[in-house]
Parts: sequence; structure tokens; C-alpha cells
Amino acid sequence: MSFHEPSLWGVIKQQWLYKMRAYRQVFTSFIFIQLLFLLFATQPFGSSDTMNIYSVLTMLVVLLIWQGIAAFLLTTKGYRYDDVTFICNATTSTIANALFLLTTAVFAASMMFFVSRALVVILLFNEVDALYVQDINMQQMMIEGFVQMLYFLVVGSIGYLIGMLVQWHKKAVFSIVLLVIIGYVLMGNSYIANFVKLFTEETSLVIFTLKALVVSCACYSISYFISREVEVDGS
Amino acid sequence: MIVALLWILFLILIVFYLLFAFSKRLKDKLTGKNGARILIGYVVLLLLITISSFGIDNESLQRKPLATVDEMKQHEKEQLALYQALENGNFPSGLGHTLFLKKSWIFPIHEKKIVFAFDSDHNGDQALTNVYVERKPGTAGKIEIQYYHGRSFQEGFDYTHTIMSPIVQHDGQRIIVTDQNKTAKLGALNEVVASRFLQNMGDTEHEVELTSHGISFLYVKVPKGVKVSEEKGEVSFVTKP
Repeated sequence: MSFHEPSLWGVIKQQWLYKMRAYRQVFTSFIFIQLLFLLFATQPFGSSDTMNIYSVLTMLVVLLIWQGIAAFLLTTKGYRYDDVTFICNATTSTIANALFLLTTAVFAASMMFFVSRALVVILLFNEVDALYVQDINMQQMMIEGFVQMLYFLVVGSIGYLIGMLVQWHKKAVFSIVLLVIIGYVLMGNSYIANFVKLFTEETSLVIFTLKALVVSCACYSISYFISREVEVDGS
Repeated sequence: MIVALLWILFLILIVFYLLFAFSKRLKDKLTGKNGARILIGYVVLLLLITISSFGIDNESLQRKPLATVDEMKQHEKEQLALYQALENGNFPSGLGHTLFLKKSWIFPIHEKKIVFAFDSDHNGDQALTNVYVERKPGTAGKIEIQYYHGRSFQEGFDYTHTIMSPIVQHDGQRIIVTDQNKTAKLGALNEVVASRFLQNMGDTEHEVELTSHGISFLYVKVPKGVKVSEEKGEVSFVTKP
């Protein structure tokens, strides 16, 4: 029997480090998906008579979905069992998972930057004689990376919340589907579009950051309360 | 269409994710040391490519904003001025700004007659290029040919540097000019996709007025007394007195 009382942050750090080692397939699957969509990105996104437009937008959207699925999977029974290896409770598990998803968000945003530079090289070698790119400086590149990271963070937190809802009550799956259908019938798909526009049409970086942080914190807070209800060894 | 495409991509993604995340054998291969090697290898590779991308010359990777309609109007005025200067027998100013020397050739001549022959697939009325001849004293025994091209835009994109000069060969009395110009393949990459706080590429549906192919011509310096003619008469030809 140990009388050593572990600190909250010590446990969270241990769990985060464990997840970083044990869930490496999350990163490797990211690599495969990014490479696959790098091939897609070498095809024109749009074109006019004489100029092809290329974009990494599709890749970003797909990788956001990847982040959502990764977050969802973290809430599944198999992954939750891993936490039992450590002294844990709902607080440490939720914070460690949130930190892990923050790490994947930073990783994904960084890789998006690198891969867009790789796309420049590929396009100039294989596809076009000359390429026009926006004239952005290092600070603006950092802002773009930061914004992408926030998008990954938000989608991750939403995926985590949905996953936790599903784990809490299997009926939640039907409730979510039902809510989506009712919402669609009543309002068309405008309510989803309006939620997306909440971020995509925001013109102030500060407000955008606040919105992203508020939504993420809200999702993780709700997930935390749900996780208290979900037995680690139960359904 | 885009929504349907995204759904297809979404399904592909799910299949891939299930394959890689849940397959026991693959999971074993993608975790542990193998996973770390793949991850580090990928990051290092992308870092190297990123570093190499900063070495790409500025002409191939254009960062200047695309030309606006006003700039194009000004450009077309300048090109017209260049053309009028040539037609009036003056070599136009603006070299290095609106007019660029692409290539020059010097050939020895032993005859008193030179014939320009244009070897190209050109059909219709459009001339391959204009030839302007200047008879210069002190150039005995040689002919100097220079190929110039005006600044050119496609949808606001300055593609002048991609224009190739024709192949010019000397065969006895004949100067054979072979056109090797092709339409430049241009691309625009939208790297800024998430942030609305930065300068965006804006509307990519550019107006037609943003396309302007600059003038192109051969400027030929021949010794006095050498007669210059053309073989097929397919080009406009101005001989300076």
C-alpha cells in the first residue's frame, strides 16, 4: 500500500504521456489520410480558361473530420479502459483527453502548413509552369496556423461530446439523429450552416478565438459531467 | 456537387480510418517503434520539402498580388505605345519594364540576301511574330537577331517569364524561325483557407480584360546593302530605311 498522494496534474501528465505513446496510430492514420488528400490537392479545385486554382481546403475539411472521429473514439470503451491503468477519475480523464486532442490539433495544424509548402513544390515540378500564392508573411502564416488549430480544437471537442453522449446512453445516438432530422425538417440545413458561419464568417481574430475556446470548454465541461455518470467498467 | 463529393470523401475517410485504427495487425504495425519511425520520418520529410520550397525562384512562385483592371488598362496603353514606336521606326523604350529581351543570336552572313522562313503550325491570319529590320553600318559579315516580348498577363497573373523564345537557325541564305511557344500552364494555390483575417485571394473568376498578351517581335540588325525578305509573306514586315 502506498501512502504517496499523487497530485492532480501529475496524474494528468502521466495519462497524457501514456496516450501520446499508446495512441500513435491516431497520428499515423493522420499521415495516411493527409498523403491521400495531398494527391487530391494536386488536382485543380477550380479553374478558369487559362489558370487552375488549387486549394488545401478539401484536405482541411477531411482532416477536421479525422479529428472529430479521433475524439469520438477516445470515448469508446476500449480507450476508456486504458485510463484504468492509472489512478484516475472523470476530471483527470477528461483533462488528459482534452490535452491529447489539443496536441493532435497542434500537430494537425503544423502538418497542414508543411504540406501546403510541399504542395507548392509538387505543383511547380509536375503541374504548372508558374504558381501564384498569396503574399503572406511569417506572422500571417502563424495566424492561419493558429486559426486552423482552433478549428481542430472545436471539432475535436464536439466529437468528444458526441462520443460521450453516445457512451452515456445508447439512446443518445437516436436522440442526436432525431434532433438532426427534426432540425432539418423545421429549419432546413440552415441551423448547421448558421453554426458553421458562427466561425467561418467571423472577421475578428480575438472574437473568433473566444468563440472557439468557449465552445470547446462548454463541450468538455458537459463531457466531464457526463463522464461522471459513465462507469469506467460499465456501459 | 461539392456536398456529394465531400460525402464520398467522408466515406473514404471512414473506411481508411477503420482500416488503420481497428485492424489489429495494422494497429500493431503502426504503433510502438514503427509508429514513431513513420511519424518522425514524415515530419522530417515535410520539413525538408518546406525548407526546399523557400529556394524556389521568385518568378516561378509569384507572390505579387494579381493585376487589377486599372493596372491592366495602363499595361495595355504601354503595349500600344511600344507597338506604335516600332511601327514608326523607333526602338521602343521600356526595356526591362514592359519589354524584355528574351534571346539573341548572331550569325555570319556571306550573301547579300537573307530570307526569313517561319516554320510553325500557325494557321489563319495571326502572324507568328513581327520582324523589324535595322540596317546598321559596322556589322559587316554578321547578322544579329534579338527576340523581344512585352509583359504578358493571364487573368492578372504576370506570366512573361514563362514565354519561350522561338528557335532561330541559320541555313545558308535562310533564317528559319520555329515557334515553340505554348500556352503557359498557370496555377494559383490558396494556402489561406481557414483565416478570414488575412488577405485572401479574392474572386478567382477574373475578368477577360485581365488577360493581355504582350507584343512580340524579332529585331534584326543587318549590314547595309543586305536585302532582307520573307519566304511566305505570313508576317508583317517593316524595314527601316
